[in-house]
Amino acid sequence: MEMKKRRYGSWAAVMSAAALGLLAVSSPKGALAYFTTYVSAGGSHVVNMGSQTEIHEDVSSMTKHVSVTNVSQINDCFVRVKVFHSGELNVTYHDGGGLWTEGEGGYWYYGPILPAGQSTGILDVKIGDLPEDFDRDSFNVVVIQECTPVVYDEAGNPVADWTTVYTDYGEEADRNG
Amino acid sequence: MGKKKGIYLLLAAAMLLLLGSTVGSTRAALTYYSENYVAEITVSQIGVSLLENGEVVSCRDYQKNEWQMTTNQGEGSVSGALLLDMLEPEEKLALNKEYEEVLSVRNSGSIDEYVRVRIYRYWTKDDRKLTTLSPDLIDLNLVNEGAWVKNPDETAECVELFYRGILPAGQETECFADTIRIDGQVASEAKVEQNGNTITTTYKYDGVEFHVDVEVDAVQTHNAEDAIRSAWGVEASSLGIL
Repeated sequence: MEMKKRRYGSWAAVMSAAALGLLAVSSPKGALAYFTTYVSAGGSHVVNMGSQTEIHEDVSSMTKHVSVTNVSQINDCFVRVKVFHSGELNVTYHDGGGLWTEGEGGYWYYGPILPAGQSTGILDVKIGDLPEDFDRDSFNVVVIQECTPVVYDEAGNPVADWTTVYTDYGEEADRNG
Repeated sequence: MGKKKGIYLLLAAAMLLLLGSTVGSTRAALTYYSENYVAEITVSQIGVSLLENGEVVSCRDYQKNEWQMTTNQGEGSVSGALLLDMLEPEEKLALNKEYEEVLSVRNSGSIDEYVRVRIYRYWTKDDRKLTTLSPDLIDLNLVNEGAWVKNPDETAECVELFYRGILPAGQETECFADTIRIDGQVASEAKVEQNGNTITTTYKYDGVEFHVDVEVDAVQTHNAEDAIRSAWGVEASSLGIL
């Protein structure tokens, strides 16, 4: 009889605990429900760089007719040329189009952007005041050319940055492997 | 005997509480079915849109019990497209040039909300992410810093902005960006090779692709502190956005 009483008491305790547990579960946590929404958008562009320029020098009447062609298919650039010669020669420059300007470092700068696939106007380099015994079939006047990509300044104007120092780069390991 | 009485009392109390917890919903059900009329009911509808240069590029609103998603990519797209009109036809991307990129957010829902924006900037080449090139060279000019609070825990690739205060239904934020520019430093490494009369300059990062992705999240203003903590994982009051 004592045993039966004990069992009945245990059963009632279990049922009470179950009922309280059920009650606790039935209380919703409303504070965690909230309205949200979201949107997304993305865009990209390829940065094409790189240039290929070609210098042309035709000679006639002791004058070099210099022009530069941007042979790149994609990228515009700015170009400049510089003439090297021995001190005994007197060299004068003539630009019929008015687009070449003598500037810093003894270079002649082509003013406009040189679009891909196009050529500059002609810059004439005339060699004068030659000594009488000068060999007109063999003289040493060297023209070099340089190009630089079109960049923009803070005011939004296209400019050439000739201060860029180009160095050979090595292959660098990407962190992605 | 006393112990047994206590157990009965406990059981009775539990049953009463359990019964009491269900009475409310029963009453609500009875009330609902006892009414017999037709009425227009306006329910809370949250919505948000991302705008680029004044045009909606992506929008997601809750309307008529379902989500309405529209983007400038057409039907079926879940994400809008940015930078489509950055360049004119045939125009080439120029380094250091500032292009218009005005980005803002509109509350296109019918309830007020708080807004967060995440901006991702990164480089890829041949469809692989390029981690040797700094995202800072993608210069998206962030503006209106008084209206948009930057998360101090930003990373190089991801900038997180919170709109300060509530964005009322139908209203638009001040823009959080106004221009985009690719820094000329991307062209600082190059090889120059001469072959006869031809000079070829090859840039290390020729052909890389820059990306800008923007995510906009909105959350209700009711219980904002808890909702923002739960949705975004930040303390809104300490960031000063409430």
